[in-house]
Amino acid sequence: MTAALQALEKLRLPLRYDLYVEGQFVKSSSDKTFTCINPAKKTETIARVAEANVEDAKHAIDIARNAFDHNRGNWVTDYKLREKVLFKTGELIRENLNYIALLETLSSGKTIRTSTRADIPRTADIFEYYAGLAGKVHGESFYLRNGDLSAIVKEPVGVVAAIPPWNFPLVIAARKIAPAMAVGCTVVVKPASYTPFTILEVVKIMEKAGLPKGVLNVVTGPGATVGMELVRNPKVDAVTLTGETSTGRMVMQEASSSLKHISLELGGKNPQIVYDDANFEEAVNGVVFGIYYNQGESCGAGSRLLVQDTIHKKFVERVVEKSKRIKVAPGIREDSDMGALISEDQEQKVLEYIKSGKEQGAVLKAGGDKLHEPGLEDGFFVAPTVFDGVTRDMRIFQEEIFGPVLAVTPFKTEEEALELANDSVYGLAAGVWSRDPAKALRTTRGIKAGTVWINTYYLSPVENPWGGYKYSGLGREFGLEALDEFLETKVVYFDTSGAVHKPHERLVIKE
Amino acid sequence: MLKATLELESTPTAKMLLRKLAEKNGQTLILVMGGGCCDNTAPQLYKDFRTGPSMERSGEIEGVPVYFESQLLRAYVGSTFVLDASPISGPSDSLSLETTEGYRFRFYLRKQD
Repeated sequence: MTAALQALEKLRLPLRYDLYVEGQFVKSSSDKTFTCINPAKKTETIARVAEANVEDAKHAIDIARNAFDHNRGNWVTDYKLREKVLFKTGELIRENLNYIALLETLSSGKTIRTSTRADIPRTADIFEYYAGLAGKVHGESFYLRNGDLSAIVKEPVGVVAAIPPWNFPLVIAARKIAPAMAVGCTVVVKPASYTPFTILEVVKIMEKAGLPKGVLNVVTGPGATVGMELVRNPKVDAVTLTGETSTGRMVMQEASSSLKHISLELGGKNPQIVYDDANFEEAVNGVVFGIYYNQGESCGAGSRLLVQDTIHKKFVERVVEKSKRIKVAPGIREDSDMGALISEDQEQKVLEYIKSGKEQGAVLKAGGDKLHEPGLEDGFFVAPTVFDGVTRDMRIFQEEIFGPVLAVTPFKTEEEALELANDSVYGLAAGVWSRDPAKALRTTRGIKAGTVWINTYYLSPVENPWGGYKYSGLGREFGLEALDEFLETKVVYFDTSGAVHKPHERLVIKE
Repeated sequence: MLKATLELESTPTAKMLLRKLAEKNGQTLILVMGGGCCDNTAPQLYKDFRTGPSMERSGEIEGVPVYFESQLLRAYVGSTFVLDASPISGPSDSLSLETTEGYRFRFYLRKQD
């Protein structure tokens, strides 16, 4: 039996989670709860979680506001404290990696290999990276031409509302929380309702790491009430959301009433361009990984394969062959390559896209069905699916499916590849596969996307800013740029002349 | 125009919800086909949503205007768009207004005859 299965046997389900406000776990004011199920076994309830309402959200915002305005625990001013708390958080996440990974897999459906080897270590990476930056946000100073001194000071924006999605519950929560906290902001998080509790486990860890009360608060509940309160409330200074495009636009519109800082990551329909001079097997592996990683439930998924016509047939055959070898199984199993989709609703949507692909004339080459084999019958499992002959007027070419469905379109020339790649409302990421560096760089330059991988796919280390062009969003997460989303700039202008009559005052005062 | 070839229909539950929410929220409701990320393409009902130049009005259901992104609309040519709604068991993360009534809008497409 694997370590994860052993750990699962020791868990006493369902787990129980409350809201986290002002350093305490508290029930919601209505005392309502909701349940989270295991997407790989829908009859299994993993957790009961407190369901917040608007009043709970307002209270959490007030607490975060108060903590910021009164510099609670010296959080706003003591960068050494912030560095210590964030770094220790990373360290303790690593110490508890297997337990957190197990919970992440149970709630999200993703494989334990992904949780253990990618998501949870990456979460620790994120906290540690931003810990290292906490004391290094200095601004700059310089003497002006007239000898006066300018000091450009960076200050935390204030209270941040963070709304992460369910596909990478901890990684995306951490990439919002950690930079905000590093610069001295206080935070209210509303996690996704399918996966609300691993962040609450991290909060327990952060308490041990020395987190002052009120600095980080978690409210679990509905988007239209709790989420909307976070967006509208004038006591919130910045909103960072990962979600659907119209939701992002609505958030921006609502947040405009109090001119909040906004950071939005809103999806992608990312092209993988494979030229005929690419290393064949290397590109096949990158394409297969790029679509099935995390069940395709990723804004970064390489869901459109644009492949040069000269190798098209052979390349698709090999992708199909490898797609059929992907082991679909409950994520808790060590041999699972692809786990369950998050919900029945998501499964239905993915199957609906597959149906539309067939109806609109695409050629189904692999998968295309819900899987019913023994062990999969109680979960939301869809086969790795490949459609060939996809044209730009098909829904599966244009719309983000958020599932394991690859749409293949052949192209003849470099120009056509670029035109197809950019024929999307999104511009989050892209992959380019070629042995010709000049061609790869020409293509990269022409692609309207926030990240372009050349001869690899999906790597998004914390050092690299992540975000999109066009409808894929606004602002950047990760890297140094993420800090800017949570900072205000203050100019301190210091007169060094000491003159009673300063030259510019003569515009009004004659002597 | 593409929009002339997309027909809109709705189920009795969807109609009931639109009427109820219009009563509560006034006459400024808009149904938009959102897209991307964890909600992918799904109907979203908002109050006072600013559609902008990239969206096209495709008609209305129960007096509520329906908007699509123009670029995505071309994939719906020749279809009948049917708005439906089903009950939800837990909290929805969507900002769409019907979630406050314990429902989530869905849609399906039917090929026109």
